[in-house]
Amino acid sequence: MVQNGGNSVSKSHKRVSKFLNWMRPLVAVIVTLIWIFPILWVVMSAFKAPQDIFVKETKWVFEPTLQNFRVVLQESNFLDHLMNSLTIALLSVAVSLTVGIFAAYSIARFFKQNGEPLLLGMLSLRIIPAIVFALPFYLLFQKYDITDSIVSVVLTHLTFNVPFAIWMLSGFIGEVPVELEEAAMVDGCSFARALYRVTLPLAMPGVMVTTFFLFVFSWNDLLYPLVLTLNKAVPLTVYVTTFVQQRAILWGPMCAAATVIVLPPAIFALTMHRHIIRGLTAGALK
Amino acid sequence: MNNKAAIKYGFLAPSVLLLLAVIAYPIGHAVYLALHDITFFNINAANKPFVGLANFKEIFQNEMFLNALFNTLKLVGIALAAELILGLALALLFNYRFRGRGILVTLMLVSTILSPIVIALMWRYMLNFETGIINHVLSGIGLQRVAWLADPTLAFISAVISEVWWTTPFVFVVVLAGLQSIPVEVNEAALVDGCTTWQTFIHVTLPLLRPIIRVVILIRGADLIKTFDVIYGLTNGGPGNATEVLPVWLFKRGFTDFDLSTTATGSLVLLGITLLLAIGFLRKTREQE
Repeated sequence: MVQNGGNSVSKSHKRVSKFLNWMRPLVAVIVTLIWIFPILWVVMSAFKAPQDIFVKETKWVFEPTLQNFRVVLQESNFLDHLMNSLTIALLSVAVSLTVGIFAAYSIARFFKQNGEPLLLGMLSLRIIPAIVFALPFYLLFQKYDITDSIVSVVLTHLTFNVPFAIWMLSGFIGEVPVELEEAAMVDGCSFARALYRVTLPLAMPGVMVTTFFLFVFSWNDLLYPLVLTLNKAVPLTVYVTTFVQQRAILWGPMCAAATVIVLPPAIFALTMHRHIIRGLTAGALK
Repeated sequence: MNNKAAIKYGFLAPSVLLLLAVIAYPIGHAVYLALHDITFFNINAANKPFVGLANFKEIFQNEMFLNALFNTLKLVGIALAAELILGLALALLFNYRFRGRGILVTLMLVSTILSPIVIALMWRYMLNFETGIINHVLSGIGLQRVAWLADPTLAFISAVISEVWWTTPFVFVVVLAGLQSIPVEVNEAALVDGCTTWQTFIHVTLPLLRPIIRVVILIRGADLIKTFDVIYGLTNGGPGNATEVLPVWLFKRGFTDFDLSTTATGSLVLLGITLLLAIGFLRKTREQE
């Protein structure tokens, strides 16, 4: 492909290329290790006794202990908070998916020309800062005395999960060829049946990715439960802030709590990481 | 029931109704709060005094509000620039197929699924003056320990570092996807024509990446303006008001002071600024086409 006239340029360029190609994976590994070091460090610290944490020089060699996990799991209502986080996230996902799949189907199939602005509208709802909603929600729920409840938090989460679900799902549903649904409908299915029997199974990877994101958004949310809950519906995100009070900063238990909090999303992610990357990039490339 | 129109709107209706309830209603209420003079004391009164835009005028004379606004814009500007540069650099580094690349990218993405409050506490632990590992490493190589969270400027930088560490992988993955959609022949053609690698990058690759970068700026910019969790967990606005961004300031005004009107007014100002910046950015980039 390279002609004779450009020979000298191509040779030195090839040499640089070869060198780069050898260096790149190495540098990439180093960069990745440095980047994820904080996470590894926190997990490691979770297994350190207080005397190994409150030191002036880092102790790399230490005797691992489970006492931090014991503090976290036994001495407080950790399991209650875990259940709260889980319930809130699952409910939020369930409602958003149900409502979102239908809306996404409608937009993908019936709003061919006007689809874009609608989806852009969904996306732009993300721009609204949560603090705008937080105060009105608080006042409203306080009036009916339901502030400290799972339901109130789930309702607030719908502000960001429903638009996101609609936006993401309409893309994935759009990728399923209409012909397949039409074929099913020729055979006598209604729209809803075709959606259930044909479209959804084919769009399932996309639905799983969306579910993952919806779950993580709810699981990680802090502001709404911070504002609304007191002691009954407190999820893990609010709970973990209690480890860093004014006077006593309990790093060990905090690291243990953090390690446990990270587990559900991490496990969820590991089981579908290829789909997630595809979902991330597909959304942005549009 | 196969009536197309019924399905078309029927499927859409539940979402629209739900969104009207959970989005339109609170915003409406916020507008109401901003246009009236409401404090904790007269909250249950029947007729609250209507003050028009007085709250908006007042808030722009509030020093703490202006400080928070300035901090927010500072954070957005610096963090966004850092994320773009870092993300681009990472994407260029990884833009070469080698074995294990997928695993590395997945590992990089782990930080994006963590809860921001966990990330804030994590960095708070690492940046601790006495026991944090960052200072341990610094003193280990002979440098002085740094008061990361006690010094106003450094605290701001720490906040930027925490935020950037958390979200750059997202930028990185998106830009990488963009790079991979550029056919190899384009780069090779430029090189054959005599361009150096650097010239190829500036004049060929970057322009082709512009649409993607635009999307990233929009999404990340909007997210950064809203930043609350990371700051709340890392410094809670401190030391003093050095890292107090608008959402944090508003949170304190609304839920510690119960100054409802100010909070609502400030929130709407925040929303307004976000919209202005977004629309301004979209307009500017559309002109460039």
